[in-house]
Amino acid sequence: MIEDARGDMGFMEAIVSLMAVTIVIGLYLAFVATSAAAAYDPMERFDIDSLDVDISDGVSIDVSYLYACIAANDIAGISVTVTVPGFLEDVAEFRVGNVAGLEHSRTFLRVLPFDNGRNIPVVVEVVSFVRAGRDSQRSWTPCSSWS
Amino acid sequence: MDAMLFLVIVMAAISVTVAYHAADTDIGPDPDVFLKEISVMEMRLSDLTEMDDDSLGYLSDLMAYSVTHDCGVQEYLEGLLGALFGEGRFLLEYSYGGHTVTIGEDRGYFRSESSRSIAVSVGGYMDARLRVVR
Repeated sequence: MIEDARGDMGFMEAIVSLMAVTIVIGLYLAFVATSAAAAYDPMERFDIDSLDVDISDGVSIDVSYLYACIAANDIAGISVTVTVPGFLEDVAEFRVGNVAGLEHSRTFLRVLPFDNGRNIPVVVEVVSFVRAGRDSQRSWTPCSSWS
Repeated sequence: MDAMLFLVIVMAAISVTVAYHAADTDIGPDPDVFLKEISVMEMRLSDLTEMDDDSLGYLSDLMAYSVTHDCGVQEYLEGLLGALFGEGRFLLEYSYGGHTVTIGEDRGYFRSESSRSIAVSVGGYMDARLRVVR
């Protein structure tokens, strides 16, 4: 900083310093706000054990828990993908609500009864979509490729 | 001088913020969960081995069998772990009876890992270690 003979800054230098500090603090606060928004996870309290998944005759799920999650959290829709490695080739996907917007994904491992007494591992990926507006459409769309 | 000190403090604050949120992004299954569930998974012996036997066996027993026999257990585990953690983002090592099997890629850095001794039905324990990049 430029100082005079008494060690005091001039008015312009003080204004420039104030602007620099304000800009840096503003950038930092913007960064913190962005990070906090990215860290928000609406699926934090999602209980995978409450989601009823059945693989005994194809893959099916009980979507009532998904609707409860949508109602309890501020999210527009949920997508559930069920993979049964080694036993079922196709991946089953179920969608509830409006599946568009910012995604939050979690992957879970379940051990579920299969045919002939088997208990096999199943990979369940749950993706939630943050609500963008109030006009979310609630529809239930099983994957068309599933047979 | 004051401005430099201020910038250093702000940079430190940004670093702390980044580190805090980075530690919060692990949203996949815990490796320990997988190792715990191995001894619960049951499938037919004929599913993953060349044996013509439809008896049920735990996956942990089949893994112990696979350390000395060429069968489909390792291929199955690779597909399962790939679906769970992502292709090439895991390293599973398990040993039984002095033999060791390694599945996955050693990337040198893993975000989380877990080790467990799993009882085998025919006797002894299988030592398994799973490391995961997330």
